[in-house]
Amino acid sequence: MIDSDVRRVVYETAMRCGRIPLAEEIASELSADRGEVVAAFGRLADAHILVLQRDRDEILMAIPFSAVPTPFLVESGGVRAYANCMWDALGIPAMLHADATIATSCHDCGTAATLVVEDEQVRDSGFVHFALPVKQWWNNVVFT
Amino acid sequence: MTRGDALPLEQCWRLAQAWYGTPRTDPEWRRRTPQETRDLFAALGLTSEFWAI
Repeated sequence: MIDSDVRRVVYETAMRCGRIPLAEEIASELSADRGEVVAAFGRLADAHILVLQRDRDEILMAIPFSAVPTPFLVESGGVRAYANCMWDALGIPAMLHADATIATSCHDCGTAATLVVEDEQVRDSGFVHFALPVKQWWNNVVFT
Repeated sequence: MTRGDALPLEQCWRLAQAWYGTPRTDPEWRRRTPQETRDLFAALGLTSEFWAI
């Protein structure tokens, strides 16, 4: 039960506040021990639902949200959040079912880019590069 | 290193909608099975070897 409770609190917080909660906050919310929450993190990471910070008992990614600043800043549904990649930057308004403005840059030339999602449509054009084939995504998902 | 694949922004948006549109706050939410993922990719035209799982 705790795994789905932890997942719920992580995503409720991310979708409401734009940030990923710490283990201690989740433990407090669930009236659970921090150790139980961290153990749930491990199981959720093994299931490829969360990505954890190296050598820390905290979340790095609750996909599409990032716990650390990235080059993909999303404003959507009243929250300001970092995404892990361009696909995830689009994933945040898709998850929130809200309009969005995404501040990023061109991966090829570095030029600043602002993309708009409005009325469930993306208002800009361009290409999104996927470096690795799907079979390799979870070999090193941070690189992916 | 492969060259990777590039999706038009519109196609990537449709992928994001399909991938992330279901509420992960729902206790009944679960990851897609490999076959469900194949079906989702196929529905979006992602049928090359790059998208094989």
